[in-house]
Amino acid sequence: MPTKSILIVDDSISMRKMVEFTLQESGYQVETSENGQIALHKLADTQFDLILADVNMPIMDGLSFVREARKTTAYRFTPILMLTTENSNDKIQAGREAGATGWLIKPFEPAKLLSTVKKVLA
Amino acid sequence: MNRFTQLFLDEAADLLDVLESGLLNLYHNNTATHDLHAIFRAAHSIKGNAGMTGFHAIARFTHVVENALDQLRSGRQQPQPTLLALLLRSTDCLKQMLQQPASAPIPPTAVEVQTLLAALLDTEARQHAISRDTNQTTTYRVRWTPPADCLTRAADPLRALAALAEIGQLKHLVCNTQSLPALTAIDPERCYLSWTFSIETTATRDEIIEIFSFQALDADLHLQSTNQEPPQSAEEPPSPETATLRIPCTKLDAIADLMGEIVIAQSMAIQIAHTTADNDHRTQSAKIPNHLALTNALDDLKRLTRDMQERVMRLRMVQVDQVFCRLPRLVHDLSQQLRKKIAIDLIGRETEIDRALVEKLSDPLIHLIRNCADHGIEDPTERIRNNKPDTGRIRLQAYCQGGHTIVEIEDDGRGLDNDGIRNKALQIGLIQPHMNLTESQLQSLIFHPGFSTADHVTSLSGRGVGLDAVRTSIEAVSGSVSVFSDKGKGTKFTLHLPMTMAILDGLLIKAASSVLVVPLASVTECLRPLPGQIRRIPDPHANYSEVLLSKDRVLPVLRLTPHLHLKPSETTAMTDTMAIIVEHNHQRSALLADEILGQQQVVIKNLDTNYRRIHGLQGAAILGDGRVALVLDIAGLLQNQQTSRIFIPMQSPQACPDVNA
Repeated sequence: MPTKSILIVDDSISMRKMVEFTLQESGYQVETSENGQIALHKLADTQFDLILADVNMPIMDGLSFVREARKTTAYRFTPILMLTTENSNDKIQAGREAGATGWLIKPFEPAKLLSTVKKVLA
Repeated sequence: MNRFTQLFLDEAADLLDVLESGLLNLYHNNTATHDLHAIFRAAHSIKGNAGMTGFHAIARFTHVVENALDQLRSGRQQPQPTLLALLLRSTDCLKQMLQQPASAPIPPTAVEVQTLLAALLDTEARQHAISRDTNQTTTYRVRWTPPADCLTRAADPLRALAALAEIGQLKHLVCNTQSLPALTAIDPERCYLSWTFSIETTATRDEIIEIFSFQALDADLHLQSTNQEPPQSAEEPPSPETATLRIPCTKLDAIADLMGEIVIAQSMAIQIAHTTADNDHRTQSAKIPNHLALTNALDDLKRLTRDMQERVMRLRMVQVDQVFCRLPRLVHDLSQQLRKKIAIDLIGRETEIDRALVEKLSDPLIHLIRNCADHGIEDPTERIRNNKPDTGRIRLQAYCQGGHTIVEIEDDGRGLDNDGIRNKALQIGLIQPHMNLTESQLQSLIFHPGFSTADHVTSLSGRGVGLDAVRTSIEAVSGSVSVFSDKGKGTKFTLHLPMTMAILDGLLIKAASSVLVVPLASVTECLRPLPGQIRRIPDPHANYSEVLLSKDRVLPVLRLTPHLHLKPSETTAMTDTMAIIVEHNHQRSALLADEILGQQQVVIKNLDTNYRRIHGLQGAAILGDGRVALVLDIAGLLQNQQTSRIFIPMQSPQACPDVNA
């Protein structure tokens, strides 16, 4: 099976590093972006298998990013997980309407991250 | 009493029911490990909740009970009768303790039970009461419909299933394609599929749900643990895992009341729209299309309101099992006391009845079951002599029929003694020797006050309160009770209960210048009698009775004017009279009305609380035009007619003089 590639979109460098390190350790190919706009450019060049996106980011926030990504043919059916600190029903509903596949509530343990990623890439 | 205390008391009562019915199952079938877990959990919950709400005596007492149940569960104790009897007594103690204030000490009977229980248990086992298997595999039966939008956000149902397959073994996976539309109508980005399967796993319930929930795929996900043997039939007790919500009844009633007001307001609007449309039509106004639109919109509104109303009414419905579940214990105790072998079958436990009926149904049912056990079912020796199995059976069945909920209580005992009933009825002057009664008329006499044919009075029933008490309480909720018995084979009591107590489909009639509502459920037909169809016949009690001759039937005529003290209308000629044939309890009468105005759903407002109870009326309703109409109580009217002259002598039509002649 070819290595699965994952894009991480988060404005916090420590979060990016933590997630990147954890996933790379487990053999995933990982790229990172610090906001939605940069990430959208990346999507044009590469076909990722999974995107992990923060919700609150400068320039382009996570929900707008998901909405834009879903407009491109290549990313209509790619899982996009939101990394978020809030799990209120309103937020989840908003994410759902934007087209987000699922949620990972921060803070999370590396094991939790891996098991969730595994579930959507199963 | 604080909020939590009330919550605890409510819940404890439910848990006690679980405990009791579980113990009884165990008593009769000691292989039910399924019950053991359920009753252990019930006791455990009572203990925990009692401790938190300050009922320390209950917590201490339940602790001992819980220990005993734990030993049963783990197989360290056998479910021998002495232990089970003690446990059953302990549920009685708990009931008693729940009636007392939280700070009350353990009552003496409970202390005794506690000591006896403790003596039965081995001390070593008491040390570790609760142990839990961690590496146990559980099989869950899963029913899952992913949300329709899941594909557009890449939440792939198949991936979820694949993820599930990694934590356990999937079996019997079936994809349900029923909701799939025709190919031309398919939206390829919508999910129309649902799945059912079993999963055998060491993962917990929460871990399974998590696979779905983090992707918001769990909106319609149902998990049922089948670790203990799966329910064998639909007659199994309802699954405790059905999610329920406790809502204060007052809130529900307020919604139901409001719903009623909406129905009234809506029918007013419809009436206005119709009358204006009629007027416009006459004046050939150009506004008709507008009115058409308005009428259509109102029709839609009517449909929606009715739908909503039905749903709101459903909220008031509870399963009849709330009453039924207490009866096996009763039968158990009765069979011990009477030294008879009695089994009870409960059928249709999931049938829904109005919450208000639950409380009213309990006493009559207990009464009838006592009656069956005491008078109906014979001693084992007598039964064997009569070629019957030594165990008597009481069959309790609930089901819906038309607008009614029917509850049947049937035993296979000795049946009613028709001759005995006749003699007794003659003796107390209920009937006259010359009266020719049918079997069912004769048997229905047992509901008369002061009637009891039992030659001896036992401690169980026949304590001066006869079956008339049953009839009175059933009729108080607009229901009726009837009896059918086959001598030597058994007796069947049938309770007809209204499905809901607040809303009624009514036939609007005009009689004696008043608008009245006849419950549609009681109406069998309406006809316009031809001259000569209504005859007068002589009557021993009154000057004459009127009958309606129709299709070879002779029906007693019921005029509302004298019954309800209404002023007779002078204008209506006899030829314009309508006859509404109403039926209750296999008894028919022809109700005479001046006019039939239409059919309407009405919200019954109680007369008792707003005025006072009037015989023959079950309440009042507000009509579309704002007028108040009285709602007839057909059962009461027919009964009135029957008691005033019990039985209409059957005469040939030729013998009846024509009223109009």
